[in-house]
Amino acid sequence: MSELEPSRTPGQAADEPADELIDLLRSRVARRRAAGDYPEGLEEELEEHFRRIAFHKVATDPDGLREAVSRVDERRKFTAEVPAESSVPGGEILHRALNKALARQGQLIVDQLQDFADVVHDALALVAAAVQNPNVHVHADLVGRLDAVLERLDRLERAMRDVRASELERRVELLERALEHRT
Amino acid sequence: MTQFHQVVAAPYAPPRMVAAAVELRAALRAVGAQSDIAVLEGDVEIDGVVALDALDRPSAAPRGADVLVLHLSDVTPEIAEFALGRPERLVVIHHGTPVWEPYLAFDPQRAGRFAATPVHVPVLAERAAVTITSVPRNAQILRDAGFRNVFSTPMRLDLDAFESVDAHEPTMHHFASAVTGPVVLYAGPVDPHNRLERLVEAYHLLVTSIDPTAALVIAGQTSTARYRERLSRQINELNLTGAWLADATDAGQLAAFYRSAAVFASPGEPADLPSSMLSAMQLGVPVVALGTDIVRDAVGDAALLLPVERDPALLAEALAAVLADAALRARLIAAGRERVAPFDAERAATEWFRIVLEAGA
Repeated sequence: MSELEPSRTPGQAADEPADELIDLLRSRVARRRAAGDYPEGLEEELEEHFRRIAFHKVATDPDGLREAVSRVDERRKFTAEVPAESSVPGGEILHRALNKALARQGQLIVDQLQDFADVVHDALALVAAAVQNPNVHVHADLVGRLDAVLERLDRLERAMRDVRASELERRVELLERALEHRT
Repeated sequence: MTQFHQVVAAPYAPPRMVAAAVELRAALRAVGAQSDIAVLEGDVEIDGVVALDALDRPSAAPRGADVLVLHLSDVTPEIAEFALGRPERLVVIHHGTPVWEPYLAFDPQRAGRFAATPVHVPVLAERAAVTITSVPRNAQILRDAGFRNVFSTPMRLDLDAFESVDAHEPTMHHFASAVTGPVVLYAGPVDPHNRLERLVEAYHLLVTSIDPTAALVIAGQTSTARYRERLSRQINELNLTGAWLADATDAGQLAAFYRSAAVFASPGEPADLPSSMLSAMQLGVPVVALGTDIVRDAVGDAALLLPVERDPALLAEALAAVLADAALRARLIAAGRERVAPFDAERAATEWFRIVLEAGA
């Protein structure tokens, strides 16, 4: 019977051997922690690492934004003039007359729209420029990756500090033995 | 004659839900019943699906003359309103509501649906004449919410499927030539409630401190693309070159994964019958899983069940133990085979069909 084989006796509750097994596994984890295999705070770092990945927002698309601003620019010329062409007999005369009658009200609305479009265009152009300027925004994805690298570096430094040379040799030997065993 | 139509009321219907609806339709049509499937919301692909209004009879039938089978995972006000407005006798097939918290970062809308389900479920309870679930735990939740005539009977699972399928040759060749260590496998939905990031963390501990030759395969389809993408990023940033996140839509490739696996690992909280764990047992792969109520009901003590807590070091240790301890492996393999032996796929399919048919009697 192996160390992990449950030693159930007749009438014993089904969960008891499982609990024994879990206790044994926990004690092995504790031994690894004590031996420095799992540096202090490693699991918290792993959890924080994934949390940062999970909540990372999708980066903006500066090229797409620039194209969108160009499209706004192309379409910001308004006119109050309604095309006079018509397929209906006499329609052309009627459209010209309507254009003349409504010209003043139409131009007022167009002027307001033009003012609004100019302001929106200028605001969007500023936003697009800001997104492309690294001094006024943050690349969250790069910061996240940098954090991950720094965390790993930090972990390595702590491991180097905590583990004595002899301990390091022991662990290398263990790994080599495991590799030999596999091959 | 009584009509038996079905509505899939889940925008992200898992493949098993669709398969269950299609199989039930075939069984009902085989006995001469008029039976169609419609989708309430979302872009769910089902062969021969009809529009919702095609389920209405041209002339009004008496209320309760026909049967409507509603497949769902969660309950929204729209689903409740739809169910309340239908004239047919209602059979609910509840496929389990995943825990909502893990979805918050990846699909907040779905997290909201799952979180609000307990509020809306009691509305359906008033209309459901019969309810079917695959696991006792979900049956108890529904009874507590006021549902009557709740049946807990497993869905049809073809556990022999991977034994009869030819394993994908290039995948088998990859494992034979490029993988020198044992393979840890998870197969199933790659969705947040299955907590696969914890398996990646445990694998990181396993290869950095216990067995550097071990490989990890996470195989399955996702309904949460953002989660899968973040999982891939986690693997890359931890520099886990022995980990493989596979789409695995192909039965042959899945068969290759199962046949190459040394241990099956499931660190999550399945909402329904964990069929991939049972498949692993059928194929003689020992299972390590989080011991949630649903998993305990499904696998009993035939798997190494861990406490329901986030502990990647314990999971890594459990995987290492199953990989290294021949006696433990042998016990789990034997217990797994014993556990799935009584499972009768045909009987399971017949049971759902019988319950639905009786609802129309």
